Amino acid sequence: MTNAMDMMLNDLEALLVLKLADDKLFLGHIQSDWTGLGPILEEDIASSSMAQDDLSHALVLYEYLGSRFSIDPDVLAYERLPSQYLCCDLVTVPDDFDWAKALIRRWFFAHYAAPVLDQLALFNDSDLVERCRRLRAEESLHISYLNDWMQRLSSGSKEAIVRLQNAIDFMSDDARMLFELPGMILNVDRPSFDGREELFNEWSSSTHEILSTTNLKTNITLPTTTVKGGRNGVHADHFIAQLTEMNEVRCKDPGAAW
Amino acid sequence: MSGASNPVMNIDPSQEDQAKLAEFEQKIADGLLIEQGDWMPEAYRVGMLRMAEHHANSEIIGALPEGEWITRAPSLRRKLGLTAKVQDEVGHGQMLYRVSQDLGKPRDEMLRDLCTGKTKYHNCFNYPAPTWGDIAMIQWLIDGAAIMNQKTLADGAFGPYVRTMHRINMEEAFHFKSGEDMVLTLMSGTKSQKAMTQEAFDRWWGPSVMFFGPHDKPGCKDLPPMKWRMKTETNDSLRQRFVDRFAPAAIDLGLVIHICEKDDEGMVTSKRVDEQCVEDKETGHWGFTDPDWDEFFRVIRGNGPCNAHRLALRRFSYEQGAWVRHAIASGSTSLPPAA
Amino acid sequence: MSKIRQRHFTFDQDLVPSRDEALKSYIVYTSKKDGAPHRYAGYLNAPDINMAVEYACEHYGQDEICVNIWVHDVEVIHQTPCAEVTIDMDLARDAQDRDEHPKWVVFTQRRRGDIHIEAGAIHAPDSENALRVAIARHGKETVQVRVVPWDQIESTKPNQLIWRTHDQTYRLARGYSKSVRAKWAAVRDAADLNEYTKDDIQNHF
Repeated sequence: MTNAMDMMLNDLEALLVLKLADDKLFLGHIQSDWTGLGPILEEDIASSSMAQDDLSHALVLYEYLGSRFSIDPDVLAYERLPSQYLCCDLVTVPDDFDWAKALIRRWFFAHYAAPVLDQLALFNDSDLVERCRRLRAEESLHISYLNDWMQRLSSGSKEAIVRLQNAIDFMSDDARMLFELPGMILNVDRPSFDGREELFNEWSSSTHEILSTTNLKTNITLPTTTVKGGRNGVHADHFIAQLTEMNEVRCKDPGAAW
Repeated sequence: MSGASNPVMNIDPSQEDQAKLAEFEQKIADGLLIEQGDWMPEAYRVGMLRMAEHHANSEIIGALPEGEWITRAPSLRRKLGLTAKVQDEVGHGQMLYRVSQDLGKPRDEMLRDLCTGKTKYHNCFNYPAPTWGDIAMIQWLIDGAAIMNQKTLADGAFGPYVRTMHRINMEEAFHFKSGEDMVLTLMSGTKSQKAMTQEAFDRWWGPSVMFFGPHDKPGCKDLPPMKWRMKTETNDSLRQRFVDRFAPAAIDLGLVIHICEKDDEGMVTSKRVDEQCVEDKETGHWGFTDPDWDEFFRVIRGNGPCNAHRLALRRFSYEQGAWVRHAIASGSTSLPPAA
Repeated sequence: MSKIRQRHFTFDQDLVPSRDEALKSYIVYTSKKDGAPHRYAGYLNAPDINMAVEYACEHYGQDEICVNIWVHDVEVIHQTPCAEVTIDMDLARDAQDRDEHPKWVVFTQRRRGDIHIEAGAIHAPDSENALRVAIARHGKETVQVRVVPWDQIESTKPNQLIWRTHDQTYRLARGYSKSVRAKWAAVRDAADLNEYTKDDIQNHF
């Protein structure tokens, strides 16, 4: 298995899939924790559905990688070394049960995931393309839902604007790092692999389109390629805390079925 | 996990319009359902309102113990299943509050009364869920008990509540099946998984047997709650049905049914085998030791292991969400942004 | 478990009523496949009808395959009392049903306790006439006839994604049935084998 894992971690295409899968896993993980505690019963239900989408998307992508490299999807999700996870810090930073932070995180992320899925759908692999196509349709649904919320809240009350702006400021540094790439990919001399700037531009323009209808502001720039974070396995402490919590039960009894 | 709806009901129909009351009772005796907008005795309206509210409260608080384990579920499928299940409970709460809302109590008031302890929820949610095994037991035993109870409630007479019960039971079938799958997986697993499951079973068997509420009073079938088909089965007959179904299943799984002493945190301090838990070959019924009803009433009065914590978390959630409710109630997508 | 869930809370002031009461109530109907009638699914609360549609998709749209959802405010209903519907043909003939009138959707309840199901659409100048026409057309063997002005119903868009395309069996009973059955069979087989071994040893050794 170690061998299979190494093979996967040295495969450029696999890395691009893996970073999205890991992002989705931890976003779904942290967001599903809200189930039962949301601000309105109906909203609780709706945001839990979307957290389940994110977890399902992670599963769909792990299943793809799992079938390519003969690794159990749950092993991929739960049993790697911390440095082998490629998610960014944005998806694991605690939201302190502040719904504004949770919303901004989801909103930032959905606008990022959509063009990433478009990018993956250009690969020459019909299985992956088909999976990404389905995920992309659901991502659009998330985007329009979250856009709607951004506009509603920011026209709702002064307090809401202050809270959302604080959340944006709090999440901005981590949001930049969405666009970090694993070192191996940066070194590839093929345009389809380093779509970093295109991705960032697309994300900036789609988020700004919504922000321009509100009083909210962002000041987020593309990080230089020398900054190393989650995409290169260099994670913040809160990532380790989330991972430890996530595999607490599973790791108690290695090899057991659950 | 979901609640039985057995709030204490003191109903006095003597103040009602006797002719209309007779017509109402005849309708029920004829097996017809009462619909919103039909004449109903005031005691019935209030009784149904409280019953649905208590049930809704149970769903909302019931989401908390299991919610603690979403982040720790040991596989992606279990994580998805548990999230969906807790989400269903919120959905059930939402639908049940609607029944009470139509009978005259605003939802926000119900949510506040829950937070402040003015209204109650099902007792079993005041027990702790310290391991993953407890999650399996809650879904298997408590949801199993809930389905048994709710199937009889779906046979009641109040249309809006009955329709909600049908919907809820459909979803409870998933909860129960997933619980059964978890218990089976754990009891077919490693030594430590089996030990964890037995310990969780010890914690939950007692609350499950108590689930259906205290022993019935004599003559309860002629009192309004049953006469008006707000409920259709006695607590004791449901309890027997539960034990008949689950005691042999537990034994087949390799679990041992114990009588347990617990400390203030709800953790088992001593246990002995329940010798009465055997099948009576003549009647086909299973025996069981009557649960500790002192404990039951102690927990109902608010002194269970988790009462304070459950309510505090619920209240925290309510208060944390206030600004969101405020903003969307006053905002609109069509308005330009505030200056 | 998130830190919040473990936290020890203290509250120093009384609980403040929220503005949840400013939320309005809506009724939701879902349709399982193109052309299938919309069936009552449930209620929900929302700030406005657009949000209500979004909430409906994420709740009632996730129960089973769903291709279309209708939502309307609870206040816009006109319906007969819940009783055996009597069809007065004279009144019904007088009622106007012409295309230039506004459109109304008719829902009927077959028996007490049943859900309301879409029965068709009619045209009428006002609610009174709408109910009359609805009763004449759809009142047979029903206990309640409900009409809702079509322009008060908000619908999901044609071909809008509601029911998700990824595997949803984790949230359905049938997603577990096969595994449960196989595991029970294995548990009971193992018990039988133990029993057999015990007897075997007792009888033969």
